[in-house]
Amino acid sequence: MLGLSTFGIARRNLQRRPWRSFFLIMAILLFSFFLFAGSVLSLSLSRGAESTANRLGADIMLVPEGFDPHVDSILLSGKPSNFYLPANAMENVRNLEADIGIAQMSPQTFLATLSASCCSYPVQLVGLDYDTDFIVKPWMENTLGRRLLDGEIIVGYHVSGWPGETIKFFGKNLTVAGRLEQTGMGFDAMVFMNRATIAMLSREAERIMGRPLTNDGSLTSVIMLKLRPGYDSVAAAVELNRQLNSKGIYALFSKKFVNSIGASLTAVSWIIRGGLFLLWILAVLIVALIFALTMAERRGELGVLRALGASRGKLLRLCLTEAFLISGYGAVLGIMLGGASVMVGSPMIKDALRLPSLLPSFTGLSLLALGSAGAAVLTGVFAAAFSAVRASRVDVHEMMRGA
Amino acid sequence: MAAVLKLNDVCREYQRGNVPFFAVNHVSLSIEAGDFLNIIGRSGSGKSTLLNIAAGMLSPTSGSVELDGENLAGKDDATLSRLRNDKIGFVPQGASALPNLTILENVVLPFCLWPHGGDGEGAARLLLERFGISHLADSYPSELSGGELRRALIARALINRPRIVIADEPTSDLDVESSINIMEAFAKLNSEGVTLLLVSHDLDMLKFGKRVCTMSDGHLMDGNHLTDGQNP
Repeated sequence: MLGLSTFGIARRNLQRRPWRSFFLIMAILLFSFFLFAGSVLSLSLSRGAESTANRLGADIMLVPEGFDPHVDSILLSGKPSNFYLPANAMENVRNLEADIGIAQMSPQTFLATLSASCCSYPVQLVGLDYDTDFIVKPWMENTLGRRLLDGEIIVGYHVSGWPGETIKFFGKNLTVAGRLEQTGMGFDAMVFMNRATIAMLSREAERIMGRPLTNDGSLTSVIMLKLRPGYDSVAAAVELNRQLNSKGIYALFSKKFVNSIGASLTAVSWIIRGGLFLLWILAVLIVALIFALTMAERRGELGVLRALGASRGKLLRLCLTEAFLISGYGAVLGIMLGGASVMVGSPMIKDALRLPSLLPSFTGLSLLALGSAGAAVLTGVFAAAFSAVRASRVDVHEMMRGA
Repeated sequence: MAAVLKLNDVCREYQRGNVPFFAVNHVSLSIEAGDFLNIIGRSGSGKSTLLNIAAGMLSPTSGSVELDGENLAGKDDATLSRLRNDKIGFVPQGASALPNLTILENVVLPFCLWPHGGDGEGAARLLLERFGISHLADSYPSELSGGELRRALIARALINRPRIVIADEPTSDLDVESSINIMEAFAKLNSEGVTLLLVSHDLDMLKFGKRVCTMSDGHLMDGNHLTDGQNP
């Protein structure tokens, strides 16, 4: 049989009008592409910000004065940096413990590698004080299930190396004890170890690199503070800055950091939403216009179909099936292109926007793809519906005048 | 003999510049099985309007149309469409094939619009063979000559074994030889029992029919009133 169903006729109409079909498919393709890619980007940024907020368990971070932009880089992209607080920083802060309302304080040490056996790019090594840490330790122990030993490391999601393998940093072989799940932040490119291990590496680094790490030999890059309930982090940061700026210590309150990410994220999300809305209008207009022109051009052809016995409903179904097929092709191609672009372009966009980003899971991506495809198909069918309904309502003898 | 198509006092009124006029004015007509009626008339005489009413594509302002004993008045669009599909083989004016379908697909198309039993494709191939264009089955309408395409359209009108074939100017735009071929094909169909209603400008083709009526100012009259009152 020839397969002259409504679907078959619609398919032949599209095949025999390649340019018209091409432009219609392109309009839907662009819409579905940007809808999918935009949604993934928006969701990734949102998840990244959420992840950042969850990971930054500290109310205040103390960093060497003038180094706060470096902290942004480390936390967001994992860009390696070496910077250190004065040797007596911990004592200075401890003196203010009661006034400021500090509940917990823990030092962290950053050490940047230039090369490592695991990676073809520099890696940020982070040393934690296991006795006082309240930020990364619970998260690491959840992954590892035990305390991290000397000479052991836990690697971020993007760092190569599996439990049991060894990675060489500054000439020292360290054993991978575990891997962290993806965070979308700089943590993904970091390697965590305890304070004793990073102290050993720092000594090696000093020897290999031929220059001292710090003038005073301290191994504290930042101090994380958690305040007691009821204490305001902004007021505490202002007070810490007033008292410690002269000693080369600068206080950052985490909420400001997270809030600034949130503000940027909101702006980016609105730009994406606005762009998508404009694109939707454009897609509807293009499809509606081309369809209206096509229906006018094919008036006689539709009249012949009616004269041969096609009902109004059948004619409407034929027109909408054409719109459905066009939208379906455009939507699928757009999603495929969007998926490829997300995979390739996501890291670049993340770097360009300087915002934390965390891709949705495979299920999440699949649902987004399905949703975007559905929205694109509905858009195409909706845009064509007006012309299709109008065409189906014209009297047969009126249509036949165009035959 | 029972009438295949019967028009009873049919009128179709239009407004032209707020002035009412009758494109079809109290026309009664009966076409019986095996008949071959030619309707002639000048442009604007109301022939096409009458044909549209007869084919169930336009409802009359007053009067009634019976197709195969069934009154078309008050039927919904789907029922009328099905009736048109089953009982009328329509040959529209001009090259009215669907440009995106092959000739074979065009011929089988009415068979596929509603459920029909049997082998539609086989019947379409037989019809194409009968009209001498089976070698053009996979060609597209734009690749055929006027005469070939007109034969394909007649084949399409016959695919559902209709009770009547209605053709609007089937020889327009054709050369004399092609026109004669087409009319001979119609005459042959009629001799095999197919009922025909043709509207034509071409008075030379009247000899192929059994009856002729003339349409003038919306009125239908028996006989040829266009050539000095002489019947062909």
